[in-house]
Amino acid sequence: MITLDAISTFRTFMINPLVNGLILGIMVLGVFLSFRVLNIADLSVEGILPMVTMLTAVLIGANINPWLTLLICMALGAICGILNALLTIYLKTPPLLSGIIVMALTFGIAIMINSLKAGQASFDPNAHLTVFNWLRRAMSAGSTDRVWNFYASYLSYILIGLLLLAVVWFALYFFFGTELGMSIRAAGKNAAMSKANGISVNAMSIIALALSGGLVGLSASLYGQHNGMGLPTDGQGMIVIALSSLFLGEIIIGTRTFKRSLIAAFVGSLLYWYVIQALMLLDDKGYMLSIYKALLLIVIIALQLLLSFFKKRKPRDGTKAKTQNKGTMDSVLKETTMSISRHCLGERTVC
Amino acid sequence: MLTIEHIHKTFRIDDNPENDKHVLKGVDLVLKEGDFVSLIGSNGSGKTTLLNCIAGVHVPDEGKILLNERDITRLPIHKRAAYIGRVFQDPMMGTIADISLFENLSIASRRGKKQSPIRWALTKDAKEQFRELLKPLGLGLEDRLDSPMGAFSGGQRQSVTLLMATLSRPEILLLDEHTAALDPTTARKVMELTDRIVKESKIPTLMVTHNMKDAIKYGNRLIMMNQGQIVYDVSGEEKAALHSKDLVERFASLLPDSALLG
Repeated sequence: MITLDAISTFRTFMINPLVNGLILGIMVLGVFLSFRVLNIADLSVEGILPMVTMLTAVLIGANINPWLTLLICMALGAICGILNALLTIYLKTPPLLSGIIVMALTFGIAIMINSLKAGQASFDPNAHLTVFNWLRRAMSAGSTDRVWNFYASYLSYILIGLLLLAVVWFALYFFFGTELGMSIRAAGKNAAMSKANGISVNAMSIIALALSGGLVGLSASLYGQHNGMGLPTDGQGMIVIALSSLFLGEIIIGTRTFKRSLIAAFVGSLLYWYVIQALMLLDDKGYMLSIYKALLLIVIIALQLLLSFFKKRKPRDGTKAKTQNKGTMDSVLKETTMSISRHCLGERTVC
Repeated sequence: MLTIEHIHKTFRIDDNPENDKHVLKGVDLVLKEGDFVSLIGSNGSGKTTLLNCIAGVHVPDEGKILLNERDITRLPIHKRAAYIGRVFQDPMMGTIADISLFENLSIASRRGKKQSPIRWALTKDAKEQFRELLKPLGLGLEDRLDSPMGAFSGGQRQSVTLLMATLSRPEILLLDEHTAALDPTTARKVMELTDRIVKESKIPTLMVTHNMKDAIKYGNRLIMMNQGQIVYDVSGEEKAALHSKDLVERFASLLPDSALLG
């Protein structure tokens, strides 16, 4: 006999982390694009996320088609990404600052929506259509089996999350294998080399940040539809969550090829939420969670460093090789200048 | 054919115009088909600035740069890259360390072409093609197409960059002290490879170097710059008869004592 308690425990420890991992896994892929492909620490996620969850709550509450809502939110996220790139390109702001500006702007919009809705940016999932209950209704249509109807609600979260994550993953995998995709990767790794090979680094960063913002928007809209509401605090600590997930995945899957890094991003996201769920056992009131998340990120980064020592591989960005080379280059330069002046000085003294 | 018409370049150091550095002072230069030019000069003579003006890193304040009658003076780097092959001084700079040799070559093979968002970047045909291209280098690179570029030595990376720069034939090849960061043996090998590629392809080449022996041994023309101007330009038989002693004397006569001791 399955008790209600057992079901609730199963939901808390097995289903919820999975759903979070799937939905926010799309965001992790977005952060992967800015952080790993372009080498930019893009903090705009923290502002785009609450803006989109609140907008989603308003749109769904106004009976806008949930799939259309996803598209609108994706487009909005992409516009934020483009703005982010344009700030860096035309105003020459450092990428970190551009991200902070976009974060402040989008967070401001979230606050504005919150005030306009008097703190009530929420909707009733039973009365309004979301992508999740659209699937649930389709699955349980005509069925009077109460148990099946019960499972259908969880299944709808998992299936929609899985479907969209899979679509996004394959789309990214194929796109970054094309000529344009490879140029974007090149632009992020070595700007001087890319320019010398005819790649417009500016255009590439616009495309990549638009994609990244679009994915964050899509993920945030799903998050809002899942929660049934939007709060200005939704984005708090999201960059910590995204980076922890990304690094965790990289520890387990590795980054030897682009495909592996891309797999690492979503595997990390899935695992991360199970770890968080376990940590929540230590903290039944919930006020320690942010501290745990920050500590967990530190542990993950330390672990990554430790593993790289054990594997004795070159660091992935080749910094070690670069500094070593710089040393030799400097010495070569010194030698050359010295030999030239020695030559000239020698001649002079003879004269 | 590359035509440089009277270019000037001044760098502003701070608000005070008296501190401006007038690096190029009216440089005129014509590079004909088949020219392999070594460009020498002391530090601060403007040779690297001249190369960077041709590559598009700097835009000259005055004057024009024409490449086969096309005005490229103000064209952004990535747009003029279709006509220009470039090898940097730093062996780490010309290639991307953490993608494979194959991927690096494939990027170079599309230099100056449109990047399709749907066409697959890496094809089997291309791989075969690159393998054939790498074989004559004799470095064993043809069997290591899938290794990450970071696993190669500085000399190998510089050889690959050289190959990449000439993969889709440029109208001019720019070499910026491309052997300066290599050990003497590797530097010689890379220089020999350079000579072979330039002679076979007949791409007009401008090579900045600090090595006077290389400047004399390779190429059919030698240019010396001093204080932002070309002060010496020899080619053909006169160049062939040149000795490094002549160059050193010329160098010494150009430099004031203060520059040597200070």
